[in-house]
Amino acid sequence: MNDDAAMNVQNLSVSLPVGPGLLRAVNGVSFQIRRQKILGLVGESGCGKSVTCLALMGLLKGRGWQIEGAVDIGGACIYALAQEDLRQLRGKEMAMIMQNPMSAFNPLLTIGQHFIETLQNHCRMTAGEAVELAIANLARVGVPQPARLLQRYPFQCSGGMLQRAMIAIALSMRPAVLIADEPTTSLDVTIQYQILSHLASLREHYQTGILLVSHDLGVIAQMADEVAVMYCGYIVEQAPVDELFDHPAHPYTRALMASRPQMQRKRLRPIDGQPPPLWNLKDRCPFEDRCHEVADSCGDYRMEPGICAPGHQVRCAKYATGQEVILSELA
Amino acid sequence: MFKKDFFHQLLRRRLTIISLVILSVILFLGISAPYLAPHDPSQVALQYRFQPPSHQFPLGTDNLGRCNLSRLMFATRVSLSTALIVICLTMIIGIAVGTCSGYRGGWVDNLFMRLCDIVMAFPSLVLTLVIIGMLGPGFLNIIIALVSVQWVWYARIIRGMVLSLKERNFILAARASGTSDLAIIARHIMPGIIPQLAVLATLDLGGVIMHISGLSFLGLGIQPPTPELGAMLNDGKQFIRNDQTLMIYPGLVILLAVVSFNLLGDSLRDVFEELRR
Repeated sequence: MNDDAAMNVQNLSVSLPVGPGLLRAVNGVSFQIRRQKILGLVGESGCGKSVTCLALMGLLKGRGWQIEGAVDIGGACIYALAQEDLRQLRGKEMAMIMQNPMSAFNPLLTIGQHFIETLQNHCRMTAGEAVELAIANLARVGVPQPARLLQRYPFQCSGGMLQRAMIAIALSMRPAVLIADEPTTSLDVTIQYQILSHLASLREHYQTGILLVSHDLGVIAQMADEVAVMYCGYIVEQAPVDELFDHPAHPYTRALMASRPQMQRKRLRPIDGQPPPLWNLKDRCPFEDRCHEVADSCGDYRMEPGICAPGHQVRCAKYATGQEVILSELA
Repeated sequence: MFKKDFFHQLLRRRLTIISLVILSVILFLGISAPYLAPHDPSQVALQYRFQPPSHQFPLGTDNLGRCNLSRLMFATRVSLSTALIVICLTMIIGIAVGTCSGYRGGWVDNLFMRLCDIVMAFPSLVLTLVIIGMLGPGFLNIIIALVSVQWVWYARIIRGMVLSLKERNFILAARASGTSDLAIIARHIMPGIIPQLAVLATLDLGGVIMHISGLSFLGLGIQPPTPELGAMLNDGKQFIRNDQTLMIYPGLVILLAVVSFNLLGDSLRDVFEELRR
């Protein structure tokens, strides 16, 4: 484990009992969020990205969510902490940016009141001091006239403004980890560009490690230092960004890349079929039915992680340990 | 900004203004009863029985020669204050129970809601009568009886509102920024339910006044010689052939108060709906 890891996720599994079965939303996910680095998490809708984010914040409770594995931050697992200690961590050591800024603000409170709330949750300060800090933070994310924004109600602001405010609030306590759950999905491209470039520059200023969740491969390619590809709750492939985009190893990743719009090609190549339902997911590879590269070895494969290059993890029968010999023989 | 809009919208309606005027007159008479009433409301003066309105007795006197106007003012005071106490207690209990069970869920929710089910299984009037029957009539007992029957409706409604509010995204965002449960309830949930609660309470005030007067009319509520609107109706009932005004005055006050509270509640609801849009 690296020393600069801000958050270390070990073998995280999240499941939810649904009727007679068990909905397995996240399956044995492990990764590290390192300080000043951006870890990109890509995957299609419903593959467990948002559930992973909420689990990292310790926000999944009630309804019988079952969580296994460890999420270590500052040397302690958040699931071993008392509720009150966990609350202290939230917003201070780990902060979150929500998907839809329009709904993440209480319509009855001004932006300033949201700011003051977060700051006073963690520091003893007067409302006046909080406002000063808020103005400084808002200026840093490029908000013109921050003092005026603080007096506005959420419905008086544009989505981009709100998202900036949310980023400023999230970063105001200088958290070690920032979890950005699709921060730009609801924004148009120009605002997306501005928000992302602010995020990129802020992580250096605040020494924050960022988990950037997205289903936009372009955003991930541009922003992330390392990428994890998620499918049906598994991280099927994880590698440094250049390695992953230059040599995608997992058939799913390759199919994703092929389905991107590209300059030369006229038609998109979609991935056939649908992801399997998440309940009663067996230990078999969930991509088997849609995969173009199925082999006989797939039948026995139980999603053990394999390594195809240094720092490049893949969960596919082709790269499973013990298969390497056969591969090299074939070559 | 909200406040300005709110009052602007509220005062644009003519019925609201009428009901506000009536209510403030009634409230003023009730509040100022000890200072403005011309006579002691329970001073019996048999030589002045059934006097017509005069300088000395502006609304005449009743069968015991007591000043009708003074009695009416004190009765209004008693009825309204009892109703307000009942509504306040109901709201406090309802808010406490409703937010607890809505926010916490689980066994707390189950416990409180089954309790509500039990209370709601009986017709509320019957239950009120039973409680008063057990405790005996009286000012305190009628409050206990009405509150213990009414709080369940408030608890139910508030629980429902809390349930839908707590699933909102901004609650999740507040939790993600480390806000404690108490602060979430106080700052994010309460402001969301207060408007609807205000409507509910205003509409209910009329009902509670009716209940109190009704029970007093039946002799189960506030006991004579304390003047109370329902009890005055009951007193006047025996003399309906000689002097109808004995029943008309308290009846009129009840009517005006109840109708005004209902109108006010209705227009409050309309205004909140308008503002939400």
